[in-house]
Amino acid sequence: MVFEQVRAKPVPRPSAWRLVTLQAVVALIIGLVVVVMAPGVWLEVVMAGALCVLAQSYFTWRSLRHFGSRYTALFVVATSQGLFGKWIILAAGLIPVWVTQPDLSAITMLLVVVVLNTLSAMLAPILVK
Amino acid sequence: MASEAGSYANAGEYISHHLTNLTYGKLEAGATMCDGSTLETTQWVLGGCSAEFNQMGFMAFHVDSMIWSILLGVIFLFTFWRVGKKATEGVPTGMQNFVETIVEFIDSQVRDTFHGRNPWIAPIALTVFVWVFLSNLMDIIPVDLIPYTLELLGVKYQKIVPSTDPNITLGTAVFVFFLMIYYSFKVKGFGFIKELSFTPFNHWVFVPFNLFLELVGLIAKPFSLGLRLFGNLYAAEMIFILIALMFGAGIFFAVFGGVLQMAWAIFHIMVIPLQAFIFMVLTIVYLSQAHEDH
Repeated sequence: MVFEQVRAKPVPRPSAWRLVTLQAVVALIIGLVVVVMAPGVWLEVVMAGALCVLAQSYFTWRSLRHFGSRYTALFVVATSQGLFGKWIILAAGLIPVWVTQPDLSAITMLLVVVVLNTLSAMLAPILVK
Repeated sequence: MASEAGSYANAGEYISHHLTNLTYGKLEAGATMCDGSTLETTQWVLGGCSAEFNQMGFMAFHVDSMIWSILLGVIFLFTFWRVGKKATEGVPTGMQNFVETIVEFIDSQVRDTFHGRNPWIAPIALTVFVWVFLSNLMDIIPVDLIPYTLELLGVKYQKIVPSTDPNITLGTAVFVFFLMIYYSFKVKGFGFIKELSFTPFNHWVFVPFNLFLELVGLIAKPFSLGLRLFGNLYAAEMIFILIALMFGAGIFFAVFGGVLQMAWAIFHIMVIPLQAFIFMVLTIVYLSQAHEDH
């Protein structure tokens, strides 16, 4: 027999949750360091860190929701939605805090967001398998 | 690097001028005018300098973007109407061949991607594709050509690429978003709300969580359309402007700048249809999702 009938197997999803774990752990470490060295901004670090973890979780879930679909446009659209959804979550989380709580350091929160997202972007090729 | 006086004070002024829209807007009483005088009563005016534009705030219209958008839309409609009216049977040639190629290309994309039944989707996709393509194509025209010509005629500011204006790209995206919402309700009725509330976890306990996930995804759709197109074209325009700065730095840099402009223009020829294509495909997919009833 030239061809052997095989049953189509689902394409396994890459494990991207390590990135979320990494962000949570790094946010925790930054938070601990800040509690000791600059206790005035610990709340900003915790809030920005939590927001980053939430946004990254959303991106991971949304972008991989249609991974392996025969309908490739769905995957492209889901990734695009995940990407913009992540920044919408961050903006919708940060801007109201900056507007309503002027005492909180906006620059610290922005810095935490930039550091955590840059870190996960840099380590994504290693951590996503 | 042309201007009213023949040259700009510095590179920053040149860049700022080329990225400023001709704006018609509301100036409140007490606003400082370009000549330094103070406005006595609130007025709607065509701004003459960036200081006036900045004071207009939200109540402002980018006249140049609107005029160029409408003009490109008219060119598209007139060209396709003329070709359609003069279309002949048999092997097409010239413009008819070109238009038929585009129409067939869009038609095949819609057949592949759209899974519902709606005769309006292909015309919408065609309109979106050609209009975004023409808007992007304006980026190929040398950055100083039209603005400088109009400046000689007294129009100080002019941005000729509508897709480098977020008002235009997000406006188009919002149009697609409204269509999406309209078809979602038309096809699914209350099922659309149910879909948002019970996906991905089909239990009433998870309704708030599901709504959060799905609403973020829903809002992300127009942003993914509008901001991506704006970002790509704005960055490309910026590079053209930065290269054009070299024309004012002596003959050697001018020639080198010319070579760079040509190279970037050739690369940009790929970006122009690609961005129009992505906008169109996303539009079809979003409208297809609006028609899918599980």
